Amino acid sequence: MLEKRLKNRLSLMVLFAASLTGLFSNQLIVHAEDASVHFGSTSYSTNEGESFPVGVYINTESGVGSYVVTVSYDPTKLQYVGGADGADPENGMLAFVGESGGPEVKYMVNFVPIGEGASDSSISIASAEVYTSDTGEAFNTSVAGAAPVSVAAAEEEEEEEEEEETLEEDAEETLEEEAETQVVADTNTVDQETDADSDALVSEVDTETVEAQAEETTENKSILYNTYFVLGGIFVGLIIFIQVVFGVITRIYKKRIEEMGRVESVYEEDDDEDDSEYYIDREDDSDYITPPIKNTKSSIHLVGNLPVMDLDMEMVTESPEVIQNKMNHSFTEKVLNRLTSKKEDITLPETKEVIEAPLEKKYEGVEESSEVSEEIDAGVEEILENSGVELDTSTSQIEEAGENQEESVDENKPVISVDDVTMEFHIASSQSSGLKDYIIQFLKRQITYRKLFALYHVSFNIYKGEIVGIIGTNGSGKSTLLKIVSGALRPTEGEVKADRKKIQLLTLGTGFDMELTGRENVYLNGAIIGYSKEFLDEHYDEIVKFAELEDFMDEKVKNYSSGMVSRLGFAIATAGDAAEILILDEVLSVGDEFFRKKSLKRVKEMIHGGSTVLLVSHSMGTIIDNCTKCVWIEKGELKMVDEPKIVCDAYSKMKESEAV
Amino acid sequence: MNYGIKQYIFVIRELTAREIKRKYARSVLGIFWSVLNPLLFMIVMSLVFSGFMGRASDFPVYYVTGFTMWSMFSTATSTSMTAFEDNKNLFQKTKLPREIFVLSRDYTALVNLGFSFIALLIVLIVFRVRPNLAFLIIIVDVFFEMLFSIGVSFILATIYVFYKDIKFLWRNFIVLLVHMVALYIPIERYPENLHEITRLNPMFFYPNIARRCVLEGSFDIAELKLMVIWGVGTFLLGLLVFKYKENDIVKKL
Repeated sequence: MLEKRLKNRLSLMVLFAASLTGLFSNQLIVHAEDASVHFGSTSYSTNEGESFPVGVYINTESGVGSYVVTVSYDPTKLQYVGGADGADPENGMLAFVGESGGPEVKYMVNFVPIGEGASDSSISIASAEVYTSDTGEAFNTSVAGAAPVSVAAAEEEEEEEEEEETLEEDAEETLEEEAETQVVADTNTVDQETDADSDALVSEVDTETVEAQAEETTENKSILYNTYFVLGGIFVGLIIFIQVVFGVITRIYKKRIEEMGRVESVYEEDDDEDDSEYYIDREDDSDYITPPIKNTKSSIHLVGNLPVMDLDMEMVTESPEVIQNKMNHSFTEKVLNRLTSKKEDITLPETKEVIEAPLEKKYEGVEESSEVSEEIDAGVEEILENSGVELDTSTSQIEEAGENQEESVDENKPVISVDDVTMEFHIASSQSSGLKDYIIQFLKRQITYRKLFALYHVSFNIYKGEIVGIIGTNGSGKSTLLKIVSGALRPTEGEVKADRKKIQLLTLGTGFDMELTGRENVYLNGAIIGYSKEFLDEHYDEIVKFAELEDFMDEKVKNYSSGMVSRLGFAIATAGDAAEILILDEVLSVGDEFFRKKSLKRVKEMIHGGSTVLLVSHSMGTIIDNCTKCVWIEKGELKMVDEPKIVCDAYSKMKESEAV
Repeated sequence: MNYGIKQYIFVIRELTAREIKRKYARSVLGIFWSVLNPLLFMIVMSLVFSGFMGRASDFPVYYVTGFTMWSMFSTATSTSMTAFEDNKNLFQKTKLPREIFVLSRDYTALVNLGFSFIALLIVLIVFRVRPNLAFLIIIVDVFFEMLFSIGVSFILATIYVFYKDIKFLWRNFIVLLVHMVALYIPIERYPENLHEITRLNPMFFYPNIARRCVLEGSFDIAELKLMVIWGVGTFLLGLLVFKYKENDIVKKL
């Protein structure tokens, strides 16, 4: 039902359209007669050597029976190339003979102009006899006049256009004819008949239009479309495919490298570059992971005479040989080597003597302690007692602090929880910065990856209100840690739990554009940090005043001194209200003495505003003064998490021993 | 600290302002070169190629329209290719999405296009071409070309972080593209066998739509459809590629 209705509606629309086009077309059609034979177009024009279609139509009102129509053309100028079944060319005449039941018979005949250059000729209907289908009577047939054919050496576009035009006209014409039959049917006959007619009409119109346009436009377009989609699909597919294949290959390859142990052990400490990371190889773990310094824990060692303390500490925990190595950082390497080499040959008691000998010279008064551990303990107590009241108080203080901390642990969840974080960088051993290099090396199987652990199983917690200092030598992974905490990097293993929205990372000096003026840089940098325009407008004067750069703001930054740049950087970075979690990356070593004090004051304000602070600094003084907790990272590993003083002492000791 | 969409726009504007200021940092005319450049090109090209068009006045219009559209794509992609690399420092500093660096470069190209349209208007006025309503299609066209460019930019910028070769490859490709978009000579003048290939080129129809609506005041629905499909498709693909590789990019930098 629905289909029928749809078809009816369609046919009505087509009818309307057809009658409209019929109204406006300048085609002259004879329809007063019972039957008409005519061409699709009144005139044809074509290009030299190009075939063109000619439509021959036989129309009747009540249905065509048998018919004989001949079309004549000039055989010297035109050649019939086909198109109509049942038409046989004979000396410039085309005969169409047949029978039909429908109201219309249509032939599409293709001609090709012969001869060179422009020429004119014509096609005409020589004779036409049409008989009715039922009675076999001859119709009163009207025949259209000759249609002139002009052949021109015209341009391609024009020719194409006109061809299209003629085709369109063809289509229009047929529509027109259909329309008329429809009208007749409507008036005279029953519904069923109309339906049948409209069906036929729709189908015919469809085929007509398809025939007419498919050749020229639709066909081309659909091909074009298809190729587009296919190409697009292939493109997307290819990219995904490459990604997958590359992923699989590299994974397999990596595995194989690991299995074969082809990863070269790498120890690179670029002394030149500050930010160089420490390269670590998994297979040589035992070598580079320095034996952990025993965390003495006991608070006794906090205050007092340093060398003595250290001695005690190590002695309690380590065997005599190690003590020998560790306690005297003033020893030259030669002595150490000699001792260790001897240790291998000689039995223990003898070693002790050897050890004791230099000890007696250098550390008088302490030597007794190295003999028996009990005596050591006693010595420690003595020494501690000597150091007096101060020590006691300080230990108690520390114990209190420890308790407080433990309490806060119980009360609050950690604000930042760094959980077993490992950051692994793959660095191709030969830097293939180019695609060519990469492919060559890949084919040669020369790509060996150096594994570089910027962080190796680091975990610690930071609680609300804590001020945590992070220390470590250059390239020890501090910056990587900060990046991970702030969310800029995703760790290879482990995870960091923190509310990223609350974190504000303050770094200095980076991101200034030397070509821009100070003013422009304030806005640019501020925008990047996350200040809104209104905020910057408001605080602009404040920033400039703090940086003490009132007279230089319209100067290009490249003309600034490095101190001025970092002052401006600090001023911008600290302009905002303190966030809940502040990460300060080396912000306190800026400018001259006075500015440093000023900036320290500003940072302290922010710190004491109740934020949790992560502070990276090389100045141990700052850390000891400000922090409640200190994290020491060395070569990607967590060395210590403890009271700032303890950590700083251990750190400076290690530095000193390295320096020797 | 606000990191809303408003802030992104502010940052993109600031970055764009920087790009433009830098680009014309030491020139006297500054941003007006964006207007003058296509005009000067147009004059030169008109002298050489104007014989290829039917009417003499058509060629400058044809050329300037195509050129502005094409140069937006070419500058957008080739500048944003290095966006991550150039902004290394800022990259690690900000918590804003990293896409803004590429977007700011693309936006810069768009601003440039805006100025180049002044050149187009001048040419239209000089040659007394009166565009009809279809002229407005150019805005839609620019929008989707922008999407397309952004998509391509993301892919290029991602590749560039790992392989710098792409810069040189792309430069060659851009030259190839000049001919693929029929910048100097109308497509109809091309050899028959090149038609199909050229029409398949997604960068062909963005300028082509613009030229069609300026010169003829008409449009082709099929072409408009392709415009939307390619624009949105490439944009999504580019974003996907970037997201997939984002962490590697941060590591690499």
